[in-house]
Parts: sequence; structure tokens; C-alpha cells
Amino acid sequence: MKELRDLRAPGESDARRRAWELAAAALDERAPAAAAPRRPRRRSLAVAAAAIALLAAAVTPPGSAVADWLGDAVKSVVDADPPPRNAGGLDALPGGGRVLVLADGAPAIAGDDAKRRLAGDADGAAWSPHARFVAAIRGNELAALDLHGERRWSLAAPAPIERASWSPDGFRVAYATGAQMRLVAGDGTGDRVVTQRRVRAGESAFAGLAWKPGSRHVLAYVDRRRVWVVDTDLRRVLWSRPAPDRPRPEFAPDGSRLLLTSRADVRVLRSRDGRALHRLPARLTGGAREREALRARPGTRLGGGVWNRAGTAFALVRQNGPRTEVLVTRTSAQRLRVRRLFVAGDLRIVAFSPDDRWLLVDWTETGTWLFLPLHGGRARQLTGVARRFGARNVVPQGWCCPP
Amino acid sequence: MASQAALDGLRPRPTRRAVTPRRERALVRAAQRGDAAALEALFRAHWPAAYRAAWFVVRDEQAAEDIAQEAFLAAIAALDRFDRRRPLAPWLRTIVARRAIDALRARNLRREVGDAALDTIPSTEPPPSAPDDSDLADALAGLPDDQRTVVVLRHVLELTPGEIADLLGLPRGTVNSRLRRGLDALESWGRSVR
Repeated sequence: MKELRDLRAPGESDARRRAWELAAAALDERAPAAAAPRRPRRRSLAVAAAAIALLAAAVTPPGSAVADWLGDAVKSVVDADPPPRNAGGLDALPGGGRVLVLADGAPAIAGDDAKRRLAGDADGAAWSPHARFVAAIRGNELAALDLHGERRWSLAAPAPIERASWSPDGFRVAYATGAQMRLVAGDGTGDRVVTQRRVRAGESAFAGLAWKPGSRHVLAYVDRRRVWVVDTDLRRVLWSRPAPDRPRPEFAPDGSRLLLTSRADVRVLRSRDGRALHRLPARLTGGAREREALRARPGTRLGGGVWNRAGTAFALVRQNGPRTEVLVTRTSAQRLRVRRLFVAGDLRIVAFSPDDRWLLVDWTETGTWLFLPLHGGRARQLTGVARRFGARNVVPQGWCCPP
Repeated sequence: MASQAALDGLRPRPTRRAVTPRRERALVRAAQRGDAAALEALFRAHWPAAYRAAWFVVRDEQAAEDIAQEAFLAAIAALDRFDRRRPLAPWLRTIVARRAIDALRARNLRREVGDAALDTIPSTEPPPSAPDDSDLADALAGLPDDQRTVVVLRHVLELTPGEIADLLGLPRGTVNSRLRRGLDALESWGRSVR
């Protein structure tokens, strides 16, 4: 039955190319731990420090706080480094794909040889799984827009909508509105309540929501006390765990783990049953030099918490005194390995690039987007982002898939 | 096999590059050390069947890509724990089969968004280069879900009827009868085009 085995399927060549890129990136992510011979700790730390310095130098304007903080020992490296590479324009982002933003409150798109603003205002926006639609929220309204700004459908919720998320297969949109968590089909029909809580008027019951990738419509949401994971098709709670610090949930791309990011810590749970796998406190302690470098000041808090596309690492920001650190944490079955990628004043993680080779960070106070490389090479920056959109204020919402 | 005769008239395509068990063990060892070339060789050997099987089960490019991709990422994530004495292919194919079956079952349960809303980005996939194969692909894709799934698991992923019965939670006799009906339908198609 050789002929059956060798039949080509539609879409095979493109899918194969994308799959290989991801597979190679996944191998890169795990290769150093598995393959690299152990070096003396002192040397590896020195190399790491130099790498951080080079990276910081590559993207930081001269005289900024980063060089001061890293100290005189590396300042000469900073001064000697060539100026940062320009990232090009909005129509050709490193890593490809499309970035969704709110430009002066209007959804707009950059990337893939396109820069366009969609009609209407929004308080928040999110990509559909393959970046073909945008879920836009404004007040009590949730709307699905196509890439030309045409409204495919909209609905009015009973209270202002705080957040919405499209399921990975595109067939559901979940949204939090006042006391209720609700669900609507991807075509705007079948709007219904998933669950509800008692709250005072004007208060929000839910802190975050996330869909689990996979064949079932499994949703995680966080209320004031717990994180809940429910099968929305069966209308059944799969498990719940205490989460009084109201973390932000995000499932790993393979659906196997759930990341919970709160101000105080990051926890990785097993999706199947909620068993805790790892915990990373905001205030790392310990005597090792590497940990010393990551030690936090009082009041340090975490944010971000986004997985890379391969599910092998997640990125965080840590607000540590006057500076913000971008941390990339590689996960393995046994432990987490934290690497500091960049430090500056006020940073916000947006997403990993579609090819998993870049991390987009919004450097809010300078109006710059930073593209931090995850596999070596120099960081890139895109300055004057708001001006490029013809707006005064631009807030990135997500970075999605190549067409 | 009667259906084999019906399919003999088709123009054969090059077969997958063979990887012997010994060579595969060596490749897995090298991939565990982080050797990208070894991983690429494993990818070349196994990804096409994974994607094709997934596509012929779910008949959806995006879902098939996700299924094949997730299977490989799971394999890479588990490389360090993988027992090199065991062959990789059956393990990988079982992952693909499970995910494809889950996807098909889930899709049958839920309501889907109409395709009309998803046409804003045209496909860049070139038309099939082999019309005969395309016809056979159409014939296979046109089989009912229950027959198509067992034919694909048996003849694309090369699982045994017993393994298919376990995966689908069906008696082996049911698997065999669905397989027979599916192959008979393909045989009829083969006769009609000769």
C-alpha cells in the first residue's frame, strides 16, 4: 500500500518548512544543557556577564542606567560596541508575522508588508489564532473585525468587558464581563455564561483567562481566590487550586503546563491535574553569584509571563527598584534556569516572534520596540513607534503568525 | 490484497527515505547530544507520514500541521528521557494517531465556523503535481470518517489492527471490517479510473 503512504497532502510543503523551523528552535533551546561540557562556574559566569553587557550595549543608548548598573568592569565593552542595529520599519519585523496594537485607542496592524489601522476605537484587542481576525473590546461590546476593519459580528455584554481570548482552534471566544465569565462561538453565535461570581456593581470578578491548546475547549480562569480549569464543552470543572494573589494564567503551547504569573511569584502547574511543578519567587535568594546578580530589592514584582512558541521557555519582566529586568526562564522536567536578557527603566513584554527567535519588548518610556535575540546575535530596536503609526500612543497587544 | 491490484496502476511516487533501526538509534543518540543534522534526518524520515496521516484523518491543513508539529515538539522535549533501545517511529506515530483521532472526535462534537469567513488570506500551496495521486487522495479523503481513519492508521502510519483497535477503543473485528470496506471502496475507485 505504498501509494497511500506516499500521497502528498495539501499544504505539506509550507507546513514542513514551518515545522522544521520550530523543531530546530526547540532543539537549540535544549541543546546547551544536554550537549555543552561543564565549564568552571567562575568562567561561565564571566561569559554570561559579558554576554549581558554586550546585549545591553547593543540596544541601549549611551549613558543610560544599564551601563552604570553593570559597572566599570564592563563599561569598556559597552563603549566599544558598535551602535545598535536598526530593526527596519513596521512592514518588515524581525521574526515575521503581524503585531497588533492599539494606536490612540484604535486597533492597528504592523508587519507582513502592511501597516494599517482598523476602524473604530477599542479598550483592548486580541488576535484570532491565525491572525485573520481581531477580537476588539470597547465598553460592553465585543466585536470580531477582519483585517480590513470590517465588523464580522458583535455582541453586547451585561457589563464592561475586561478581557477576551480566542480559543486556539478559533471556534470559541471567552470573555470576562463584570461578575460573569462568558463564551461565544467563533462566528458570534451561542453566547452563554460559563460561570459567575458575586461582586459589587462595577467590580470585576475575574483576573485572567487562558485557553488550553488541544482538541477540547478547556479554559483556565482566575477569580478572587482560586484558579479554575474547566472543560467548556462538557461544562465540567476539571480542577481548581488556591490562587489568592490573582495570577495571570497562560498555558504552554503543547497544553501540558499552566503558567501562573503573579506579582510575588511564577508557578508552573501540570495542566492535567494542577500539580505544582516549579515555583520562581520574585525575590530570588541564595549565595551563588548568579543568584546574587538576580537578587531583588523590597517591593520587587513580576509581570509578563508568556511562553515561547515551542513551550520550552517563558519570559517575564521583574520590576526591581528603578529598573525592569527581562528574564527568560528555560524549563525542564527538573528545574527552571533563569537568564537575564535585558535591563532598563520601564519594559513590557509583548510576545515571542512567530519563529521563536526574538522577544518583542515595549520600552515604553522611550517609545521604542526592542527585539531581543534568543539564539545569539545583536538586538534590534525600532524607535519612534508611535510616530510610525501616526499616533501619540501605541500599546502592543500581540504578535501572531506568519500568513 | 485485492485493493493493492486496484492501486497498482497508479504512478508510484518516491518512497520515504529509509532509516534502518540501527541508523535511527544512532540519530536519536546524536540528537540527544544536540546534533541538528541528526534531528533533521529524523524529521525528514518521519514528519511527512505524520502530516499526511493527520491531514487524511482530520482533512484540515491547520489542524494537521498542529498535530504533526506537536508530535515532533513532544518528541524533542522528551529526547533526554527517550529509551534509545526502543524504535522512535512507532512512538511518534502513536502520538500522531492519538492527536488526530482526538481532533476528529472533538470536531464532530462541536459546531464549526463557516469557511467563508476565513478566506482573506489565500493559500500559497501549489496545485498537486501528480494528478493520479491527487485523484487517489480525493478518493481516500472522500471515504467516511470511520473507514478513512482506519485506512490511514493502517497504511499511512503503518499501525497494526491491534494498535488501531486500542487507539479507537474498538474491537479488532470492527477495525478489520472498516478497513475492508474502506479498501473495497478504494478498489472500486481504482477500477473506475482504469
